[in-house]
Amino acid sequence: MKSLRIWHERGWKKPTPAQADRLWKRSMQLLFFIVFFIVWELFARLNPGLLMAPFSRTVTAWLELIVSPELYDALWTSNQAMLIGFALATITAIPLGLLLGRLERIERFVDPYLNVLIVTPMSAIIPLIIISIGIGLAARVLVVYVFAFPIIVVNTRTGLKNLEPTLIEMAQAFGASELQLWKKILLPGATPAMMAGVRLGLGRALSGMVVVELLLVAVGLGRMLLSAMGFFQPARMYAIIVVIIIEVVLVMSIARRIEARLISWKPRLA
Amino acid sequence: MIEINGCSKVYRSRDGTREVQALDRVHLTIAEKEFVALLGPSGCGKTTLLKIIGGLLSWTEGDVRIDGKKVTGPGPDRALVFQNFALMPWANVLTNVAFGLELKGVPKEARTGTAMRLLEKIGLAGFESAYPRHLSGGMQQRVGLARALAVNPVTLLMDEPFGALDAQTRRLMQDDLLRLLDQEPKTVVFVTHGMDEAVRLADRIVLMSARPGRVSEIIDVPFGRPRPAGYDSEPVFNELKNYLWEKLKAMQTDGGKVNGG
Ligand SMILES: Nc1ncnc2c1ncn2[C@@H]1O[C@H](COP(=O)(O)OP(=O)(O)O)[C@@H](O)[C@H]1O
Ligand SMILES: [Mg+2]
Repeated sequence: MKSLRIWHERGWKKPTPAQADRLWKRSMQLLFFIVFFIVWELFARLNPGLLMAPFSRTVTAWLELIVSPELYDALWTSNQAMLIGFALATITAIPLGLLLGRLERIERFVDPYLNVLIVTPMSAIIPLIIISIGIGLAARVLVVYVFAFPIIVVNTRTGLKNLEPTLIEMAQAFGASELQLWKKILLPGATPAMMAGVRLGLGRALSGMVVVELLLVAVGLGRMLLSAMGFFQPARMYAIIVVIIIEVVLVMSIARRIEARLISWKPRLA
Repeated sequence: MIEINGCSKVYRSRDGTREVQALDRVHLTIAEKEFVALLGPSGCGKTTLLKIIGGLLSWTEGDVRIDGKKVTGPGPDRALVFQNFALMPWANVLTNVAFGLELKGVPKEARTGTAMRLLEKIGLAGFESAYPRHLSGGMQQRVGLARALAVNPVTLLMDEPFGALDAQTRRLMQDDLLRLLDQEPKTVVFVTHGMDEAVRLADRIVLMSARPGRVSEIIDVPFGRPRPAGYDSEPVFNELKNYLWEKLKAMQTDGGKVNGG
């Protein structure tokens, strides 16, 4: 919008290359969405099916959805498990990652398990969790936890291990105690990778939240989605998916902002 | 006074199967306020020796004493300057310079005062709130040097401090270092693999040979400090450089190598 205004104020004079670039980018984005929505609309109208809704009807359904209290109940239910699971994962994974990054002996012992955990598709262990602790809030929290935990551990550990070794030597040469070393060098140095890990963990926590509700514990957004599907309400189904996408985009962009603020000394996010 | 008496260092791999003898019975005595350059091919144990003096490494045989007391760890009487500067990228220039004082628990006001005075002295006034990544290599090493000087050490231990700088910046830094030492004399142990640098800076040059690291020769530099005007166009300056070059070349053909880190 801003670039359009500049365009107007300057009349049809030649814009600076930066302005032209921005205007071009914005127009292309807009064009992309317009084309996407038109194709969606046409495709749905030309291929009518039980679970097919055109763009226009999705918009109507979405507008209905976002004023219904049911949505906010579902959002609360889902996000409760997500937030608890994510918080627990963060406060346990960071200390473990720091420990592994600092103590090579422990790391060599734990590494194989961690590597297995990292590559295991977490959805596969959801049934195991349900069997062992039922379908309550605890089960959903645990699923979110196992989704988020490994990536945070690994990033934190890597952040500490990749720290410039002469920085540690420097601090020791100036007489730093182990506590001072942690406070002044190890933690600040590991923060960028740790924060990236937390952000990635948040993304995984969000997918854990949706996956468990779709696969096994039908509550919250997952249940709304399943029931819309069950009652053949495709427009509503799409509208719920849009809500989920909006939440993810919003949460991730907030996380990115916080991250960028915390490590403003880094030229670029890792 | 730093006394190194028959000091050897053997590095062992973690499983104990491989051993590297980095130093072999090194003898060296360094007087107060003396500038000693450790010169030798890469891998001859210069860094190892410097770290041992700094109390960052233990040795396996012999004895290392400072003013009669055995070295048991780092101390406030010694400060290190690193080849890669070792500045904290998350902290600004002022915080970096005051780091040693901060660790010692000096109150913020006092350490800021000291750091600002040093920045002034070293030509970085006005840069106190800049971050290291915004500074050139030469400026970064000035910060590293100011940080070392801030704790007011008796001895400066410098590990190829100007090795990462371009030739012109290096010359400027060498001149500035000598000027600073002139104002406030200190003992300096200066690792280098540059013959020119050693002759320009040092009172004595300790020539080391590799595999295992040994002191092969100690050479008195025939110029006083501060260096007299035009000393580097005197024939003896080039003769000494050539002599060192021949020695290093001979070591290289003996199996060592001259260049590299
Ligand atoms: N931590 C270490 N473990 C094993 N060997 C090492 C270690 N540090 C240095 N060395 C070896 O000791 C020798 C001397 O190294 P160094 O003191 O760094 O030499 P210089 O600084 O003269 O290049 C080299 O052969 C090097 O490979
Ligand atoms: Mg070295």
